[in-house]
Amino acid sequence: MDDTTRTEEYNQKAIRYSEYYKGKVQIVSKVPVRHLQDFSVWYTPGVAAVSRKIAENPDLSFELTGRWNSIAILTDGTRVLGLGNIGPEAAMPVMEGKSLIFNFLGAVNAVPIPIRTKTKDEFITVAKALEPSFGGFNLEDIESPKCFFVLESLQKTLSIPAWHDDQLGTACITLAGLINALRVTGRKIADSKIVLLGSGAANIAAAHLLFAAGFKEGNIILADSKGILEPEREDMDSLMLNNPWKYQLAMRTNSERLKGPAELAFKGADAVISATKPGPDTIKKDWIRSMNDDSILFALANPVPEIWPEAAKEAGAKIIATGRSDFPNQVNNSLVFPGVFRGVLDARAKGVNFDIMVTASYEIADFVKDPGEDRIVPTMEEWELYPRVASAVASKTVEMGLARKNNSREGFYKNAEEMIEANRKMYIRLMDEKIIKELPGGENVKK
Amino acid sequence: MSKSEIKIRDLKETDVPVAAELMMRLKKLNGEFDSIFNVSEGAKSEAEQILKEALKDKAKHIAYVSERDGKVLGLIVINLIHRCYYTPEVEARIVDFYIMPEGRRTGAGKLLVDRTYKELKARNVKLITAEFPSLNPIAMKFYKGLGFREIVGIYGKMLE
Repeated sequence: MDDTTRTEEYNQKAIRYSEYYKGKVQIVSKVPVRHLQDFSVWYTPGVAAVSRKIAENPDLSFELTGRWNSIAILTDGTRVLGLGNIGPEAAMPVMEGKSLIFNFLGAVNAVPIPIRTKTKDEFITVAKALEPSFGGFNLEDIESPKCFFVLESLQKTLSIPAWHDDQLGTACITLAGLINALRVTGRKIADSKIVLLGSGAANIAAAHLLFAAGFKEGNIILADSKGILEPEREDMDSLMLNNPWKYQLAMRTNSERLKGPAELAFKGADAVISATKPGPDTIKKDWIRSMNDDSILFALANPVPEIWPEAAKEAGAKIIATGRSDFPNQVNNSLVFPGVFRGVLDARAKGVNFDIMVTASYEIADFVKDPGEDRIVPTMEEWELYPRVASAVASKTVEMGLARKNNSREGFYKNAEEMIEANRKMYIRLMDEKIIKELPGGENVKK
Repeated sequence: MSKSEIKIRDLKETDVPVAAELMMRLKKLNGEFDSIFNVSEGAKSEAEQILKEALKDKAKHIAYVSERDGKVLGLIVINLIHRCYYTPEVEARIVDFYIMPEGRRTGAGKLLVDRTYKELKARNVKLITAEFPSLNPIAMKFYKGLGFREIVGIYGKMLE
């Protein structure tokens, strides 16, 4: 079946199933209700005693309510998938899907909340207002550069972790893949020259994460549709005003002060991380030929990578990763965010930062036994990955002084493993009991 | 890598092409703040012309560049204007002031202004002003920081 036919089939199923199930997630209670008198404990009058305790010490909301395991998936619907600014209502199916993955892989209660806000300040105000209900925020599908303002502001002011998955999740799995790609090709972080092609949310975050992981700032070159980013580029003043993150990176990176079209940056590069326009002709074979031997290429555009992996191989790339599951080395955020959130929630974190992300990336990279050309990252089916990432993240959160709750590495691991396991059992049970209804017409979703 | 020292010196004839580039960047930046300052096609040659004129008539113009490692990274151009009706009679007006991104936050702007003050003192000029788009908050902050205050307003509108 070709790509177009397969995509069309997924599209039709998605609509049919959405009509049938009318949403993908719901709230299910977790306390027994044997008879209506139980409400005197779960609700008034008994519940008032719990409220009084929390009023005295608001941090107890993490212990006496479900706040510790609840996050909000916040979006304004301004950059949904490849669909653009389709608004908050239309963003909901995507956020529900994300919530499902959060819950299925990480046992996190993720509440999808698309909001109708126009400006970045409005978004920030709404997010801050929601803070008391949640243990973390996952920002999703917000246009650039608004997403940078919003994330930076929330990370500074909130006392729960704020994560923008399009930036941080993608950067984290990119670093994990890059760590193994460098191992496989016998390179050292400090000596490697990395080109980030495309300077949107993912690669701007990737640049900061690479700095935190020990890559030399001067060895990193960013490029976009206007060419290589450098301090003398014509549009620098415009960037200073409209995208200060990109402006700052122009100052810090590219120590050889390379100028000109993006393809010039490929010459002598060890790795190119491309998150730009869908291909297959966005990256040319000649560009790859100009890279160092045994080069590394991440062609992450969806649905079609910037160059087909086979063509990149022919041009001399040794390791190729894409965003797709039908090629080896899928750089997939879903390997990151369930474990990261399980970890920060288990530590009742006050925040998340690049050092914690580097730890997560190493944990993911180290999870891969015997990495090779076609195996630099794990796959989603490898269940042990999530508690491993969770416990690494939770322990690092403690080490960084950002945790409200302490535990040993083993303790965090056991806790995460048990939660994810119990949650998975619940799914199986709910499906076996047909409380989660079978697919319409008894279909198998995998086909 | 430690950065070398910033030097301030007079604008020279040979600086004109580079200095005109800096002026163009400044004019484009003005356009970023306010579309009433959209840069015209002939702007570049006009900038070169104005700089040459400044070099020729030093009684009416002062111009300095800042450089680091022999590379020009900043420019200041001041016109000395006769004031009708008021005293003091001479006003030094900063009409072009631009620092390349790499030269910012290095104190280069302050050095250019200090050098200008020194020259104005020698010429016994008592009033300094600066001209920039009202919608440029960076310039506003910079000059306020130097003790300047708003003294005149020019309002405009495009006619249909």
